[in-house]
Amino acid sequence: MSETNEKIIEVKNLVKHYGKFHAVEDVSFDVFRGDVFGFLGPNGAGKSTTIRTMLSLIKPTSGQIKLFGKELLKNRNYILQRIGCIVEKPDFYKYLSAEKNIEIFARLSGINVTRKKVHEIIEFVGLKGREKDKLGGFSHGMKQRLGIAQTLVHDPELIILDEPTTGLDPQGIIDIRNLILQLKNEQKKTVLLSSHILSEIELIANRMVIINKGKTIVQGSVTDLLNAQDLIVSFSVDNIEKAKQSIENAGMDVSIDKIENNHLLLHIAQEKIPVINKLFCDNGVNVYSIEAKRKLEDYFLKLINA
Amino acid sequence: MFWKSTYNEFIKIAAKPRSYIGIAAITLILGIILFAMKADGMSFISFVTQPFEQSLSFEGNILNGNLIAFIILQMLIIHVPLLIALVTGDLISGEGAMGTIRLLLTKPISRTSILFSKYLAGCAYTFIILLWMGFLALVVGKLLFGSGDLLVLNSDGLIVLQEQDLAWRFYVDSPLLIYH
Repeated sequence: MSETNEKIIEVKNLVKHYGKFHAVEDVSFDVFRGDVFGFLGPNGAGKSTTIRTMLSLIKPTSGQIKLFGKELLKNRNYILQRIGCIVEKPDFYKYLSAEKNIEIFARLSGINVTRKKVHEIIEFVGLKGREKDKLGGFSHGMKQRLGIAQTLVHDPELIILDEPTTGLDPQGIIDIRNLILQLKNEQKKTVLLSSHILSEIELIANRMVIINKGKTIVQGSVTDLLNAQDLIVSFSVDNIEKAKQSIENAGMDVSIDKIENNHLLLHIAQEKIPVINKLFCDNGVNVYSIEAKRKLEDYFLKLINA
Repeated sequence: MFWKSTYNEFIKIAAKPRSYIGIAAITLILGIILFAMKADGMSFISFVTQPFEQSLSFEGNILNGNLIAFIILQMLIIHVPLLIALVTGDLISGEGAMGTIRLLLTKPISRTSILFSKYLAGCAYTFIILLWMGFLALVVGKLLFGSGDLLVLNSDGLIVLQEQDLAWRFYVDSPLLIYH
């Protein structure tokens, strides 16, 4: 999916120790131009620490970070001009208006931002009409939107979002997701998105890395990583016993995951779904619904518990 | 970049409600002192002049604007730094408490520049507070009480400073107060 092979972010063997505590042990990954890159890991895996080192908020103990093909610490200002980010929470000055907050951060971005641009960005994230309101009265969702406005106002090439959907309601999550997709498709931005929620990454990212306990576990294209996995398929049938019997009789290599009410949960690959369905039909089992779920959470847990 | 950051700091100080607490407090305290002096200033003065009345005779306007300004500046030497620290102490820790420091440090500006621009903005705020205080004490004091020679009682005894001699002393004092 990557449009070019230009590496925007290159993290190699990153290590960060806080005294005896090893926050990041060995993290490596590459992000290419045009990617929406998912940065996954459970709480405490070292995601935020990695992002902080990438933004030069903290210095790594060892390892190499290159952004836009340049060494981070030696070209800090060059690199930071081309990045827009939210680190952890979207924090703003409570006593200033939305517009003033954006202006303050835009002024330090190293790029001249016009007042018109500030208004355009605020409109883009759906906060039109609230420009003059003080941040103190903003809800979390609105601050999150303003956070995104802040990342975009100086037109950066790379956008780093650290858990942008935490604490949002379902509509807020969908809105943020659409914003990110818009950025990728219309403005051709590269986005790095950290999250501990897999389904979210699955929906918008094209490549991802999973880290746990400060180490890279797996890296690659989201579709490749997920399609390699079996699915959990729930068959709603009228006669569980008969259905089980027919599978056993056919001598198929299928493991039965669970039986819930009239649902038979099977652990199978995607291409086996029609085969099983046909088998049930042939054996006179009535199928009311078939629902396939990715074993994503399981896959994730398996990886991080390994 | 440094000046842009300094400009930002000015905007922040101007928008913070607490920045006006100091100005309001000084206005209030000075107002009370000026009012009290206007109402019963002579008995306060006689408390100082009484021991000398046997040997000296005082002429002219003793309770004048210069004396009021002197008394006020002496009295507020403890209060003003507190009022100033209310704002300047919040310049950095406030960013930390709100979490905005993280965003600020991911901008292409060095930490030293941020620190110095905050220092500069803090100095400017201090200067404005002192200017306001000086205006209230000296200008308003002179309007209310008129001008005259300044009597100062210190450990060496009673010192009389000529009226013409005073202006430059106040000017020299103001940078010293900022330093303070």
